[in-house]
Amino acid sequence: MLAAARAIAALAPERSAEQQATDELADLVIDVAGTPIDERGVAATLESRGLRDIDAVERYGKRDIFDLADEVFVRARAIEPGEPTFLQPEKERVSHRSFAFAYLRGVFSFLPLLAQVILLVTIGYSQWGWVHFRLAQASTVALAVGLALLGTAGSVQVLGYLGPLFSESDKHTLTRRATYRTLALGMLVSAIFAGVVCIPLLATGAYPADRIGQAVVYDVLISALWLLNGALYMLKRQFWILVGIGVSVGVVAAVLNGSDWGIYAAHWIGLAVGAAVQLAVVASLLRRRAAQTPEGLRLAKFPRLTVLRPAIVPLFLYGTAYFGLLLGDRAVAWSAGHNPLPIWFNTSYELGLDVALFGAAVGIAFLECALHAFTKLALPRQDRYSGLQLTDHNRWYMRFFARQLAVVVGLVVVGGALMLGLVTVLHDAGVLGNTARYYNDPVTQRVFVLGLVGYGLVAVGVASSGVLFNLARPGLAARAIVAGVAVDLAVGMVLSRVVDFSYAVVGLVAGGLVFAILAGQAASKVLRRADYYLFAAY
Amino acid sequence: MADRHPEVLLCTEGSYPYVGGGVSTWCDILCRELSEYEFITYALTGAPEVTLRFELPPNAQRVTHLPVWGVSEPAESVLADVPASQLQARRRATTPEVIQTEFAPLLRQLLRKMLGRADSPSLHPVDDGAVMWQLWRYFSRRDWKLTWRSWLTWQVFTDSILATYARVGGDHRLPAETPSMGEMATALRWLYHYLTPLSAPVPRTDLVHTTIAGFPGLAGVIAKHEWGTPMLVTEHGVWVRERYIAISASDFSLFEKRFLMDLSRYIAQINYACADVIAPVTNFNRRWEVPSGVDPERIETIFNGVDPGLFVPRRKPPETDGRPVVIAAARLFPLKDIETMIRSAEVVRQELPNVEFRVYGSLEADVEYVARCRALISELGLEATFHLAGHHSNPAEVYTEGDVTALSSISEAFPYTVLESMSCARPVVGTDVGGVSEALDGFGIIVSPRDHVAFGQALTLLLTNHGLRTQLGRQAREWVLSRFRVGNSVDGYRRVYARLLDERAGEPAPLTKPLETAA
Repeated sequence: MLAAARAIAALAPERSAEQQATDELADLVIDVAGTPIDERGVAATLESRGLRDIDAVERYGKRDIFDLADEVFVRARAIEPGEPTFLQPEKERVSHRSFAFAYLRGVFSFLPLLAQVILLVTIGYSQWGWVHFRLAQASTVALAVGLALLGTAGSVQVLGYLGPLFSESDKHTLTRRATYRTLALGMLVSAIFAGVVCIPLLATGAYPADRIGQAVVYDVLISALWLLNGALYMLKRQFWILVGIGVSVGVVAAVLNGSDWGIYAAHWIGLAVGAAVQLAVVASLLRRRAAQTPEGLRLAKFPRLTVLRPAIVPLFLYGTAYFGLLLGDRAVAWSAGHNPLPIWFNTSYELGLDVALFGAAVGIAFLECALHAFTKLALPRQDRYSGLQLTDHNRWYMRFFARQLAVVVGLVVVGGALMLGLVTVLHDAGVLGNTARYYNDPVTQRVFVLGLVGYGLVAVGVASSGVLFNLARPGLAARAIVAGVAVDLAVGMVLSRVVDFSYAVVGLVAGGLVFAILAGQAASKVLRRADYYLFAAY
Repeated sequence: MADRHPEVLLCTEGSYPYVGGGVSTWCDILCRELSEYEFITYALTGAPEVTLRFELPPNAQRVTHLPVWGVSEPAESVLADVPASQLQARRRATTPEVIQTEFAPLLRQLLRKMLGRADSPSLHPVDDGAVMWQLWRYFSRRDWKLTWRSWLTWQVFTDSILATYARVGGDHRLPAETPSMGEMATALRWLYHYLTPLSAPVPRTDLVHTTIAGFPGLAGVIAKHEWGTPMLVTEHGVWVRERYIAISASDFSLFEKRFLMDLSRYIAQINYACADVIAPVTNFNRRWEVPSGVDPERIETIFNGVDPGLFVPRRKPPETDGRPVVIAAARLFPLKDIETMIRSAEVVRQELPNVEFRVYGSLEADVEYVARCRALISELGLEATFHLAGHHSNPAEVYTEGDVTALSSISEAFPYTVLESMSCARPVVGTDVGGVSEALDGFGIIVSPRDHVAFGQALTLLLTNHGLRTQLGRQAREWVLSRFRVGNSVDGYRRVYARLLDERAGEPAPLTKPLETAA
């Protein structure tokens, strides 16, 4: 820049020695501070470089520094100042590898659930499953798993917000406090959920007391494990989730094969040991990070609840409702008709949904990439547009959002096709064992297809919600998903009672559709004024 | 007033009672010596995590702490004691209609004044402070975060900014200054944080004394308008000048620089406009204050002073005896230009290979700068010569560890380190900035800032010429005894306080009424 200025200056008529000295000062000012903003700024810069009034008089023939600064300012402003920020080249490019890692992280979030299915199919038992369970037993465990997921999901979502809120500003002591408080909250909420469901069942005699007891033990242990998984995910130590599963299943195997205590004891001891290992890891990680908190930040105080509440209440609702949407149709389907227990597990239905969910997971895992893209691509984009290019700026964000939705939908379709292909190959190869009979089961087939559509719509809703979270509007996302759950339950309830229990899955489709539409509308509305929402969110 | 001690609101920024340094020392002396006054410290800091660096005297136990950064909203900090129900009521009261009718006109006024030309200051307390005062009153009933983060606020802000930049060149703005979307968002977030004083209750006192013509002075502006409280500004360095230096040298874009400079200049002007007396610690400051529109009649220099009974001449301790030692006492950050001092050490070492430089002062103020200094020491092979010694618990002892004292700053007010060293009969080599030459008055050596060769040569001269060193040291102490005793300084403030309180004894009406009609 200076070279160009000097080249231009060289073509100009010859300047006096005094003027040349002023030109040199203009160069100096630009070297030190860039293009000056005003005369006072030049005066301050000149003084900071050692020039005094006496120098202005003796060396430059001016009254004082301010007089000198006036002239230097005019000269310095005449030198080409370069491009404004939005026309300057982009500073860094985002690597494809970082997106691959983000996708893997997304895939990883399904691993705990996927592991249960794989273990069940391959070795016959998992952390809480067993192929030899009778339906009454499977129903009890299914009730417990559902309660645990519902009871902890809100807290896991809150933890995912609070953890980074503190750790990104190196306030690790607060991360530790937030984690323990949220884990405790999660256990409390889980206990309340269990109480709300189990006490009436027990009081009315609808469920035998021993089964309720079993369900509560499973619920407590799975809740603990689920919350700790959330903590490890928040701490970006997903590897320990796998270790927890491995330890847990190892203990189940040891107890089941090495004693006559039975499957319940095996599961409970396995879950307890797995949770204990994960708790030790979480505690150790939190302690070590807290020790790394910079000295000054150790004094950081936990924000008041009134400050946190506007963010964490909708997040809590969203997390709970998310699992409500994923599990609601099951509860509706399994409670339809006359069964020995109010919630009666149905393998045909469950397998259809499981395969659909793993198909949709191919698309849902992309949401981690969407989050990564928002941070790395969308946020910096604000500086690629002039303040006068409002429409173009906001249009870019709309297109960005539309592309994301298209990718999610595409991946869900691909995932569904892949799962169908995989199941067909496994079936034809004869490796599905006892579960092979469900391949041609019309309930399983129907639930798979509709479930895939439903989960696909949920994925679209979650992608839209991601935009709303990134722009600090969790309330809009919570509203959309709560509406989705309500529609899911209502539609599922009617169809499962009027047509067939398996049509509860239509509730998932309807609820997913409502969620996708409402969240999508909210995200579009927000992104149409991305300029404002980006300001207000950060 | 006879029944109680008059109360003074002492406004600080990044200094007393949480951070060490010259201004904090000055505050500590003021509070201790003026024991007939009750002080309430109104302290702005960068981060909320702070600890007291001073033992508060009995008459200065109350502190209102305002962190500007590191909190998401005032409810976390300055409003921490306000019950949640009240905060909730404020949120409910902050409707779009309220923002539209009450806040938006004030924001427009503020931006119009702030984004105006630098050379057209409108220094009138009613006009200039009124917007801030009215905003403060607004935020005493409405929610800070909801208001600033509202859609309407963003509209008003961007419209005001873009109206300025749509006329590229018109207001001396270059096309390259046009803001990006992100920069406009950043600028409004700056207002959200920097104007934190408008969110906090201002303790009602008899007098407001601000140690800087910057953001904490807004408390004085508000008190002036609300209750007619007299206001005194003591400028150590000239705040707006130091802001210009820091902002100019930053990596901010042209738009961001202009915005911050406009904001800083406007805040300084409001302080100047509302102050009854401006009492800089050096006459040097006048040359920046008067062009900013301050009436020279209202400027009353009160020099800093030290306790010559505490800072006494002593023999060098055995550990440094027999070796030429240069002492500096300074927090390490760019305005102290320690890099020039490091380079000067190389010059001195050529003549005196066993010379030692010891810099006492916090290494925490700017860790990146400290790292740069360490790298330079290493690059020049000065590890055995130049020592960053960190904080010293007893400043009265540091100067007598050495033969001479060095001050290499590129900006200063009226530095205690110079007075303290002179009081210890250790001559000073200082840069010609701020009030340094006024303090030395020939009893030390002055060189141009950033000239490490001249700086090194001056140090060498004093270190090698025992007679000159001793003579300058003795004269320097006598100069301090005659002119810069702490008593002289404190008496100056005592006089100004008494005069302002006397003038106020007639209880002049606050500026509320004319403002309300004006609004």
